[in-house]
Amino acid sequence: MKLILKNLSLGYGKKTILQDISCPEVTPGSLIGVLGANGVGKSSLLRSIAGFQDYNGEVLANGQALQALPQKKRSQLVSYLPQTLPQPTSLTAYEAVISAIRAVREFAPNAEINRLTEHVFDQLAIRHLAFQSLASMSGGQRQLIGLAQVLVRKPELLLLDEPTSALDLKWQMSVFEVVRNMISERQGICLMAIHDINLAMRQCDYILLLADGQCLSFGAPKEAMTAAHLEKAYGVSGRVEFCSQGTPYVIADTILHKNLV
Amino acid sequence: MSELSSRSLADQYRRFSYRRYLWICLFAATIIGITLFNIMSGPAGLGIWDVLKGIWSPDSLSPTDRTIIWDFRLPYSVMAICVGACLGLAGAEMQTVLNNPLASPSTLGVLYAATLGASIAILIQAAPFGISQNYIIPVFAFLGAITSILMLLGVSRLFGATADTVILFGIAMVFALQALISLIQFVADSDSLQQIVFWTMGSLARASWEKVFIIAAALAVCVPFSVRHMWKMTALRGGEEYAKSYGVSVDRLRLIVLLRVSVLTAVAVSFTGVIGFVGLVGPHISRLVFGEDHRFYLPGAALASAVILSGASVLSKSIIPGILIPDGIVTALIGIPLFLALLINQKRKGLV
Repeated sequence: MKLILKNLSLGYGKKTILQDISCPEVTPGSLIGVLGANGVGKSSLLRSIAGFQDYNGEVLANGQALQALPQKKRSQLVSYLPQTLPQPTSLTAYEAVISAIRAVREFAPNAEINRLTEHVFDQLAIRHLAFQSLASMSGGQRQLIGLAQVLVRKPELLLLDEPTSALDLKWQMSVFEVVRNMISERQGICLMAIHDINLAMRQCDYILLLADGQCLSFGAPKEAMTAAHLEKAYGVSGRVEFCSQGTPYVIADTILHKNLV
Repeated sequence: MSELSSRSLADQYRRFSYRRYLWICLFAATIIGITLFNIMSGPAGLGIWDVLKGIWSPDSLSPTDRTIIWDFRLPYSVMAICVGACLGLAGAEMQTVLNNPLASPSTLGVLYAATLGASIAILIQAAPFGISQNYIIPVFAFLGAITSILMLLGVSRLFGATADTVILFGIAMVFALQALISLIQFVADSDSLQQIVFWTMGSLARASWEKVFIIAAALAVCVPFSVRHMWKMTALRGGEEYAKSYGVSVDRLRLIVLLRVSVLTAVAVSFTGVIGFVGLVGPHISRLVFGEDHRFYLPGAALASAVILSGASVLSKSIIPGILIPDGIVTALIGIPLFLALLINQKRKGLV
């Protein structure tokens, strides 16, 4: 999968949210973390690439403009995990995951469906949840089911909006492991909006840092996230340090502008 | 547990859904049982053997019994099943696409629009080309119901077909329609008034084979489309954004489903008048028993609603022997407590 963003801009009415977001081509199999303050447009960026929102500029996937593809075709290439958790309905996890495939491929062969669902339940280690209803699950468990629904479709381009927001440490690591396996197997790309800076620094290949509707920096974690950028993007003074194994991490010290909106 | 997890998920699911097939059979058996009882009960009591024999070979009966069974009680009972199934299916699909457990054919004002159409027909005593009022009233009711849905579709095209828009407009329409119906009742003479009020009470009493066939035909036309959209609607239960992400055009799906629902509702109520609560309670019972995989949920809702309306039709003639209480009154009286019980039960489970 090759993904290029060219001058992507979007807004609601007259209000501009994102302006001229560009992203050079990255190697297939990359995990890109989208970071920035609340309301900076992380979700809007993912939603627009997923085709939920109109935008100016171009998103090229394998050289093809995503905007021009019909929804059905785009949905085979791209899979988007919304920030909201799946609704607590009386659907079982197993049915929910199958419906993610059958929604557009009603006549997909049973053998294929069985293989795909079996695989995704094993990968995420959630077999024990398969026959529980979504209503009886905790938020974190529902988030895992949502992720299973998105992953089972084996997309080339994964757009995940805070996939670990409701998960504990172990499950956070598990999600990254599964996503990592998935994109390296498919040679795909994953764009992930995420709030946990240190998790992103540790796990992502690239970081796309947004500030004031623009791309503040893009690159490997230790280059994209510097003390100066931290200040500009979050209004927080902090340090970027390195652990004994060389992994960069961020320590926040003080809030700089209390009235920063 | 280890013994369980060594089996494939598909295999485990087969065992898991086994119980559901049993429930479907149980519902079907209940309908058959109630229907037989429905045919037996009435002013002229018939034994179970007379009924079975009469259905199997009509010629073996006395002419009187044959008329009672074939011209009155059988169409009446079958109509209860068909109307119940229509309303249940319509309600279930509406609750899914509007993502609201309170959605039902009456929520969008479809029932009231049908009532308004019927009231107008009664008020102006329309009888073009000398066609009997018995046919004109259903036609007007149908036109009313379809008009309300067309308006709804127009509004959702203008302001976007989100669930909230549709529900809000539906509620606004209910109030407007009720006011218009009251206005018509106010200006109507006493004969027309009586007729309008009787229509709003909803009754299966005027059942005939002809009407049964028309309703069954509407059901036969709509069901294949429901089957076609089954998985899309299941996917929609996880949330609109999720369904969109899988490639479902949610707005289009919602419009098509609402159109289908309006046909089902309009055809069903145009012959019977207002029969509320069946389309609301049936889907809730189905959800409780079958969950929300629409392969089970939709037939479950149709069957459960058919059971309720069949049961109500038996009650409507047995509460006061010799008098047929309008079915709409009975369904409301048994539907409301049932609905509250289900709602409280679901609330406890955190489903609503």
